[in-house]
Amino acid sequence: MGAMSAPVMHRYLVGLWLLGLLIGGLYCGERILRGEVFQSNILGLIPERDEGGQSVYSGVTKNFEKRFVVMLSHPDPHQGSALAVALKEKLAQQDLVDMNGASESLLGELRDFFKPYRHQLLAVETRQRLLAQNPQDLAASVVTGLYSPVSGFRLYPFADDPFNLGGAWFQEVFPEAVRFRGTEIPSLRAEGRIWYLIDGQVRGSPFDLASQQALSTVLDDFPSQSGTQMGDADLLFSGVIFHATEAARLARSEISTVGSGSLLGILLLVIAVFRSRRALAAIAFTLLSSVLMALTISLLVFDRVHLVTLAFGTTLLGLAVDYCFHFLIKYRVHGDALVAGRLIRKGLLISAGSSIAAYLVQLVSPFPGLQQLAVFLVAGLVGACSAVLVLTLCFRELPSASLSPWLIFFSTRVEPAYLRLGARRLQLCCSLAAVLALLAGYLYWLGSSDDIRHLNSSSQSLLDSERKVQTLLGGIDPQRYWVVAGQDQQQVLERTEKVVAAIDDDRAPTARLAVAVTAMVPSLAAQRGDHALVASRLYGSDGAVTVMCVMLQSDCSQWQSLPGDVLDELEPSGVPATVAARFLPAALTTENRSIVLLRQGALPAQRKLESMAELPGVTYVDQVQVLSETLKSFRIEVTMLLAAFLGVFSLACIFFYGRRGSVVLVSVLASMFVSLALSAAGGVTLFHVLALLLVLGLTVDAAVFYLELGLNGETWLASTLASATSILAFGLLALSDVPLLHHFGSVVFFGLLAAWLITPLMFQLARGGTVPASLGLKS
Amino acid sequence: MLTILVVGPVPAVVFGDESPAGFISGLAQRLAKTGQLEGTFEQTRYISVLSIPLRSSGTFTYQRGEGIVWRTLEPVASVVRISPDQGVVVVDDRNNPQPVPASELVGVIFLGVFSGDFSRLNDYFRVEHEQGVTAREGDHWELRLTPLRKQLAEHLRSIAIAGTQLVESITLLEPNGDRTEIVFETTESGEKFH
Repeated sequence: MGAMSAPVMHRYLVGLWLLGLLIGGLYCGERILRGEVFQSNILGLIPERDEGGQSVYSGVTKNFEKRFVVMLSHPDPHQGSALAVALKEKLAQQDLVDMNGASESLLGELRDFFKPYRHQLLAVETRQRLLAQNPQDLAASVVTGLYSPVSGFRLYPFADDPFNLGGAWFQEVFPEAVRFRGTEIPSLRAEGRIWYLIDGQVRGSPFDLASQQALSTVLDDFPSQSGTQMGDADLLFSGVIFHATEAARLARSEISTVGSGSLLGILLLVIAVFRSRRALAAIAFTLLSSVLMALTISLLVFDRVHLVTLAFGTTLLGLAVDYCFHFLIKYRVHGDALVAGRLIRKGLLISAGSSIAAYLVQLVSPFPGLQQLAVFLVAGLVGACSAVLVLTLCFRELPSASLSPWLIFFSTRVEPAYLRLGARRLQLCCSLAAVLALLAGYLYWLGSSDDIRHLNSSSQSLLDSERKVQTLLGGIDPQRYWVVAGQDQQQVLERTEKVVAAIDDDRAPTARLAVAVTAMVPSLAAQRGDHALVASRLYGSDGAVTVMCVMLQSDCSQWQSLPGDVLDELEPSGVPATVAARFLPAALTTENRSIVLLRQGALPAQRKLESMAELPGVTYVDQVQVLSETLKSFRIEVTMLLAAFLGVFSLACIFFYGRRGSVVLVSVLASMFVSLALSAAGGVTLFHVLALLLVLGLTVDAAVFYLELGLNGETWLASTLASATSILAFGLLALSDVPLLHHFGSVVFFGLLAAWLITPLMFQLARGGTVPASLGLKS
Repeated sequence: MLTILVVGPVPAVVFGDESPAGFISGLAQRLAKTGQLEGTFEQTRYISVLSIPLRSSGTFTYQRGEGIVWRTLEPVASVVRISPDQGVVVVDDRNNPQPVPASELVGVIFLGVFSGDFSRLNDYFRVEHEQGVTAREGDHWELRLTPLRKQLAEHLRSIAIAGTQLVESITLLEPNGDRTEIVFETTESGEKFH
């Protein structure tokens, strides 16, 4: 690179830069080898909000996100059972995975704990029956059951609980549990097939790559290890970890695709245009400096770098190389690095400065992911800009192929075309104004789209699998719930009962939606009420037990002491932790708060939601809506910021460049409108608006170099090469299956394309048929 | 989970293989040929807390592919239907089927024994041939079903199925000593149906 012939100061600067790169490289290498550097949780890109009980949300989310379910079915149930046993054993061998064990001990613990309270814990249906039926009917129902070959689930023996109050209560608390067959691996029959349930939790976060690896290694290898038996088996997956694994794989694959595609494109362009190994080395040096700087600073500032940041950051390759192109082309023309450096320095600093300013705007966004992206890109651009400045101190190239063919192409093909268009100035200006007005109308018609669900990158097959598991197991919706607050636990429980009643009062027992702690542990008032009901309707002197004993011709002395006194001591806090852990509302209940969850797939009517909002201490939380509202408010916020930035930028353009500044402004506005209109068919999202910041920066890049260096073959070639590499990078990003990356990629892709075509045209229109020197245009 | 279990009468057979596994396998094969059965039953439940045993009687029909209809006639009328498609349902006075919660196992056992599909029973029980007298001699034989898992064993200690030419009795023993005995009389049986 010719550093030996440069002045001593230059050599020190170059050496210092190389030392900095070495230190950065060692630091990044050490962090990556130490592990836990990258994360893949898409919600990590969105700020946490303290609305509707953030801690409850965290509790619900964390409880759900660690769980996973695999369901296996085989036409031959024996093989299905054997495969399920083998799969469960393999998963249990993983250090980071805890499999749910058999439920015998849990059932035993639950049965023992609740037995003293069985006469004061009633299922809703039982309570209704006791209130509605006379003792004769209640007794007849039991006697019929005794003579029938089947009588359903019992929690306690007939001797302890002749009316099976415990069985009915258990089925209401755990309606799914009684559907399972007591096979070695729990299984259930649905649609003529037997599905075996293999479930557990990951110990760490499902977004940790190590947790994902632990599960995916087994599941990926299992079909091949199980041989032909797996051929006819079906597997269903449910759990955040499967979505996180898929998203991480997708992000890694796209990092690889976009990165390789960008590098390959840059390589081909450099070979085609420069035909020089030194030029290639200069590009590689710039890219290396840029990426190392970006990664080092990001790892210094943040604990972990999001995979989406990395995927998006790979487009930095396309941006970083732009400056080097301008330098190399000027070097080819003038044959001196210092001269080339002097020529491009101002344009380089203005261009990088405006891009960096555009990215820095993202720092004020509350989105952690965007802040990270901003830091990554700003550091990368600083790295690239510095690398080019270092090159101006030391770059030397042997005589090599001339750029003449490319410059001639500009003067014979491109420039005449722009001249011809420039001759129709009035028509073009009118057409441009009309197109911009139409695009503005179109964008207004498109409106906005802020639904958080549109950011989901899970494949259709995984979503189908998730839905099927929810159908089979009757899952709980972790996104919508009520938070019930109160001064003490009894007030919380009483308020919770009101919420449950408001949701389910007009529903049949089998169609109830609410899942609340009061199903397991009602308020003491409700327990006393139920105990009194049981004492009078069942065990009173003229209660059902007396009638039943007559029907059974027995003296029934066994039950004369029942139901005993009410026990005023059962509260949610007293439930054993192992039992409460299996019933989410119980696990999340505290002294001053409980939650009421809903079963998957149904929502109460709007009027009910509104009426419940009036209950004291009750807050409805819809996480989908909350997150979507968050996106909406940030979209508006970022749009305002962008508008403010454009305002300041317009003033700066006019202040520094006078009338010429308006050319830059029109180029920027036209590119932004075109890119937004062409890429936001489903409505404008926050990420479209954020991508406009990139379009702004990149368009300004191109315009500033035309301003500083003039509309000529060299500038056009450098701009074309720069645009081509970025268009390639963002074009690849536009093909991404990750919605967020797709939005970014498509906006910037169309924006760059528009900027590359429109900016020279704007300069041509501004100068008219002549070549005014004031515009810095060279003919 | 299981309070009472009944198993329909099945023809006993002459088997070439007298080993326990061979006996059970041969019995299952023979049962698998049964197309339909009809008969009566008498059931007696011994519950420790009741002064006298509970006796009931009625009729049953079995048809391969469709399932079992179990009609208790005395002293309290009830109808239970067990089918591969709908599982176990109680048919009410208006002929509406009401699913019985947590009855999957009962359905498996009913249909498994009637259809000879012991493979499904093996998911829950260890099925053993009580040694002593063999079917070859045309005398009494007995199968014992012992729950494999603790959860089921907490409700059901064992099931004994006994017979000679046909299954003659079923005895269910619960862990607390309660038991249910069912005695069958088949009035009609056949290998073909429809």
